[in-house]
Amino acid sequence: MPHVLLADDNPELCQLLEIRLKTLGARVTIAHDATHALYLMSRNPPDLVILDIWMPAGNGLAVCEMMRDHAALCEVPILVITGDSSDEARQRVTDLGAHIICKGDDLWDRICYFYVNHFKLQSHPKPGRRAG
Amino acid sequence: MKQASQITDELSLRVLPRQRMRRRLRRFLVVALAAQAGATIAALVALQTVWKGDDRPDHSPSVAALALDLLNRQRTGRITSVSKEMLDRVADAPSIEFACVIDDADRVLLTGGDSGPDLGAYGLDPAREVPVNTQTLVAAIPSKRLRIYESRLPERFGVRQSVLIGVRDLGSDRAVLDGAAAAGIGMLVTALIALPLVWCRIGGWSQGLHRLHTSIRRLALNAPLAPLPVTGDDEIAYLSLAFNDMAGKLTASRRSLLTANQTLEERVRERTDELREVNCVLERQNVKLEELTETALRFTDDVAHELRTPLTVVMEFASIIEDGIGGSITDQQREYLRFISDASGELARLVDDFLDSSKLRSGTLRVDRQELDIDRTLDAIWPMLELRATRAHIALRRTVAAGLPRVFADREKLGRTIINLTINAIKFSRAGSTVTIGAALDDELGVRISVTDQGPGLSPEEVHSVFERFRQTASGKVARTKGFGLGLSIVQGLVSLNLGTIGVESTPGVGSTFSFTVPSYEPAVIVDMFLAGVTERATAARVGVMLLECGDGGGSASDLIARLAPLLHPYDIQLPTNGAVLLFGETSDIDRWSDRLRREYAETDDLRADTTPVSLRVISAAIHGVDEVKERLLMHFDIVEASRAA
Repeated sequence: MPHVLLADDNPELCQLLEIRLKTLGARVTIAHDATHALYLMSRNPPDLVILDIWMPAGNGLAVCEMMRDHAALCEVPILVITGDSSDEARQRVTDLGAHIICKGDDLWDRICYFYVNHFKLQSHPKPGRRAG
Repeated sequence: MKQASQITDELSLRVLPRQRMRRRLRRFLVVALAAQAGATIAALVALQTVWKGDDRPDHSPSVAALALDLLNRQRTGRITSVSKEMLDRVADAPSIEFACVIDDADRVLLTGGDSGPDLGAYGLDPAREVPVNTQTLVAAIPSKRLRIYESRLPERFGVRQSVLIGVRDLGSDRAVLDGAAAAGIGMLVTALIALPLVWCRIGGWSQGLHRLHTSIRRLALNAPLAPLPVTGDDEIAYLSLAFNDMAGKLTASRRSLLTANQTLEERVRERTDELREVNCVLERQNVKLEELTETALRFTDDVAHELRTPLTVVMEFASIIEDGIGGSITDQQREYLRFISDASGELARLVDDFLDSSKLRSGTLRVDRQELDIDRTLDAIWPMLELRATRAHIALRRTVAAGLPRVFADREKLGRTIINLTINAIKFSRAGSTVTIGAALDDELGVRISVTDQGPGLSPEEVHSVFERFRQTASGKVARTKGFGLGLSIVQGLVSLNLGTIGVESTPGVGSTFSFTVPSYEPAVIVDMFLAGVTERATAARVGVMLLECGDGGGSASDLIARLAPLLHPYDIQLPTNGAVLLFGETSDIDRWSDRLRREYAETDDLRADTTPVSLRVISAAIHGVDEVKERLLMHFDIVEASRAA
């Protein structure tokens, strides 16, 4: 059961992603600020991290950096979700070795796509939307 | 103003000094009078000499007649002496001193005359046979001024006798001499009287002329000037008067000129100050404008940023419910949720469009043009498009021609262009129809990518207004009719950034095809499309060109390009060539463009900017301008252009 860590200061967003991730069979841990996220991560290294950039008590990118330098966490894939679609943000995220996904009307689709590909869950039934 | 002494020196150098002038005039006078006197004396002397010469009145006819008469009478023995009456009869020889007849042995036969012939006084000795000739007589009596006439009896009389008649021309002689003497004396007297008068006159004239000359020089040098004294009624006085008048008028006009000059200078200063003020205001406004633009951009950024999170929440929960995760839902609820999803999806797209549009307009988009493969670009965006198409029950097809060249474009923007057009196509298609994305070769422009739908299509007026609305929306109005709105204006911006053109073909009731071009990865095509864009955007833009050599630090052209990309403006183009990078861009100020780039390079190590930037003027109306630029750019690629028809 893949362990996913979610860090975003918007509780509703965390809740909806948790709901979705659970349907994919993931175990979800939630943090609402960067420091808490790091704490949780170091306590219990996850298999996937989904981060927002703009959070209180730190910043998603800083978390990425710290993870990179952390022995146990440097291999964990990071999905950065953000409302910032600027090229600088994109560049910085890519420079840090993470994947960027913009908040928008296909947020879950993209996260799901990544999740499925990463954990090679071909057989898992996809959510009802695609059935038309 | 010059020093007074300096002026005096100058004047003394230039003005004829008074003494000299006086001396000259007086010398002239003396010379004239001397000449006159000399002439008179010479005339007298000449008369004296001439009188001694042969120039004598010719009394010979009357004297000859007398002589003949005398000879006759003597011969005939009628007279023994020459009487006074006889002599007086000679009309125009009033003073015959004597007359005598001599034979050819020069013996005096007969004499007569006023003083009874004192022949002795004449050097004649009747008693002796003295050879007598006129010359001797005259020479002997120089003081008496005698003219001796000799007449010989004509040969037919058989006797050789001659008559000597001495005539004194006292009257005319004396008259001449007296006259000459009188004239000479008169002249000398006149001269003596005139000399002092003229002498003084000259003094006066020279002073007047000197003063006039001085004043003229002062006037010319703009030195202080006193009016000339006008005394008397003579020429100098008139001249002085005229000069005073002229000097007055000139000084007045000079003064008014000076005043006018000063006024002008003042006014110029005022205007300059005004301009400077205006400039300051403009500068401040400029700075403010820049700040405002910055603020506005940051604001839109922040707004878009902030809007996305709540939007996502709305959309995702709607979809969660729709998917039945929150419990089963009725069909009615499903339908309503669909509306929520669609509307919020629309809202999200609007937010994106809004943000992109402002970035495009402000030119802050970073452009990263590379060599791209069309197929692979389509592959990357295909899943997302397919998802949307499927959701709208539309079939998505792809027709990519074989053997397409690679293109030169920004990957992300190319993708977005296709996505935007496809989403539009899907929006306007009926369920069950097909949207086709095609890619084909367009000879001169590169690769043409088209999105065809089977929607309602557009009428010719609509086709026109679609493109017009591009410009309208670019000016700030968000026209929502027909749902084109910002979307197409963004597409146009993106196409333009990728050095392409966009167009639409449509048949009402059948469908529409929106297509745009991307240049193939060939310098000639890229340069062509770049220049086409430049001339469309500005009538007189400049193209700056720089050739950058890759440093010896082992960096390649693509490294260099990647490193330079953040420093460039959206319409600066970089192309790798022969181990260097050709950088060219559109700019209104060549110097500022090159300075900026140089400054950036200076901070980046192992970059060498080799050539000084070349400024090439591109004028849209003048074709040769564009061709020249193209040539200069392409020569870095060792391309031999087939010569075009002139």
